[in-house]
Amino acid sequence: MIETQNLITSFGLLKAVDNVSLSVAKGTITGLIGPNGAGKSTLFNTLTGVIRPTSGEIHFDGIRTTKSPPDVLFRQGLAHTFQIPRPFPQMTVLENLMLAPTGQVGESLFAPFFMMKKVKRQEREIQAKAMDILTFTTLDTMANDPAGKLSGGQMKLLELARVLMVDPKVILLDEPAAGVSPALTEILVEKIKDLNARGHTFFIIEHDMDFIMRHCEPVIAMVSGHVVFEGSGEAARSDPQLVNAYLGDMTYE
Amino acid sequence: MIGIVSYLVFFLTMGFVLSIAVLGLNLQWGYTGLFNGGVAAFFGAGAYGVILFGGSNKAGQLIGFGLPYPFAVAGAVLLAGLLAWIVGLITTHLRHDYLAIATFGVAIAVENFARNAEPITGGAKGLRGFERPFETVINDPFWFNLAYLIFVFVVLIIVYNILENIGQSPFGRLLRAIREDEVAAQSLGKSPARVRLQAFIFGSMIMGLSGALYATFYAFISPQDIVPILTFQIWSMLIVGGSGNNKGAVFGTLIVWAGWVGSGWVLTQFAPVEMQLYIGTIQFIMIGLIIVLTLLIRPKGLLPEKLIISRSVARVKPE
Ligand SMILES: Nc1ncnc2c1ncn2[C@@H]1O[C@H](COP(=O)(O)OP(=O)(O)OP(=O)(O)O)[C@@H](O)[C@H]1O
Ligand SMILES: [Mg+2]
Repeated sequence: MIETQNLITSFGLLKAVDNVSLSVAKGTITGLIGPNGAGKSTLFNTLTGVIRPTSGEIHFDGIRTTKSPPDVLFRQGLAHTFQIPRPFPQMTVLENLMLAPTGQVGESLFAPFFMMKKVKRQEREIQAKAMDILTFTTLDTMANDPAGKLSGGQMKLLELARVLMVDPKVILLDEPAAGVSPALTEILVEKIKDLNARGHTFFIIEHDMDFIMRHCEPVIAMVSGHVVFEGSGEAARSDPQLVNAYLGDMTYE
Repeated sequence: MIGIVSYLVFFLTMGFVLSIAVLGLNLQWGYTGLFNGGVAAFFGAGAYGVILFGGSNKAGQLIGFGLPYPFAVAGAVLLAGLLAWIVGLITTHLRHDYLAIATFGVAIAVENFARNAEPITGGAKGLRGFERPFETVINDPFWFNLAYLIFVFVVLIIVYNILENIGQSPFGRLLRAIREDEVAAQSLGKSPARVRLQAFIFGSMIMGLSGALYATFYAFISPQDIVPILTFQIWSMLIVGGSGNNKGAVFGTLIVWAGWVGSGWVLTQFAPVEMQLYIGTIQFIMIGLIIVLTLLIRPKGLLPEKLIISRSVARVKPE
């Protein structure tokens, strides 16, 4: 689904993503681990077009997307959430979700005047879907509140809720469980598995090793911009070098 | 008595004309977060436009199409839109920092063009002798001005309603999302560049409309009417009223305009003779003061932005 060849993303002299060639297979829940500053988020931002790679190639769903901007990639079916949530703080939680669907007829300057009927119908559908997703993410009671008032954990859920408004082929989640209560994390995992069973591919950054081992297959590990491991969760767990060098101290975070 | 009434008519006419420009700025800044530092340029394009398109050709002048008034206004509005489109292209999709500087520069350029391109703009003397619609029918200046006030008021209502509709539509939601977090909006499949350009052009066209109504009222326009201070006046009106709120935009306009006119009157009546020369300067300082005070005391303006919900969305009842 996603393939990279010799991908490099630099910030000045620092190569945050350094010569990464990997692939995320269709239908998997692929996990991405690595210590702080390993370049995981930078890799995600590069894959999704938020940051332009310095060199190398990216293919998504068989199409070369090395230089595609995020909006184009999203419309092609590649959605992602940010590690540090980016809500629209002065819009309601409900409207944060209602923004997400693509191809809204109402999103043109003249629609309110010439296509009100169609716009209203579509808005009703979008709102119904948004309420469903808010209920499942337990944000429904805050639907009318400005998104800026949510707690950090709730903002993480909002990020996820927004991308669930569309039907992405691949969803990249940057630490979806960080700051989210264990009970809610369980619901989240359930939803991810459910979507996965229906053909959605997931690529998930997570520090919680337990989460990774239980739910992700395969697992990719990054250190200092390099991919140092690609394989099953089992193999990662039993790779002594990996455990000692990188994962040992991570589990204590 | 009639003196006071006709002054009131003048006051309201100008107040409404300026309100329209402030509404245009509200679309750009309040809704979309676009910093337009050259409101005077788009206002000026509309003001000159209406006289150039609608005025008759005179000796020593290149243009003067003598178009019927509605076409002249439409031409003026399109001229302002064209200028905005060009500015949008040269500022590479209206990136914030470029936009502020570029629009400010464009306003200076437009003013200088007006001052120097004498065959087109009449130079420093400006353009006069525009025949206003129905002026010959309503032969009395008082009644004409009253009729014009009503006309301007109707235009203001229409513009206000159009903008409210846009604000409460999915497009308005998109504008606010881009204002709040452009990166997040783009990651949700939106194209900020295209949307910003649309909002910028449409807002500038509304400013052009305001300029056209202004020039129609005086049947005269000169470079003096489009100096940079106009931009600051319009901005102060929006900031005082409350950016992001169309009602606030109109309310703020009337208050600041009243303050401007009122302070001018008080100063001419009571200021010592040696200060009379500086009344304009004192007023400029006051505008700056008003902006600073509002930002300090009531940063969101007198009528702050509300959580706007699309008109077609049913409000969700919390259980
Ligand atoms: N915008 C930026 N400009 C400069 N340096 C950056 C930028 N973003 C990240 N970096 C640097 O790139 C490196 C990789 O950062 P990145 O955020 O990708 O790591 P990460 O693996 O996601 O870490 P964490 O687990 O803490 O989220 C770090 O050294 C970081 O300081
Ligand atoms: Mg990270």
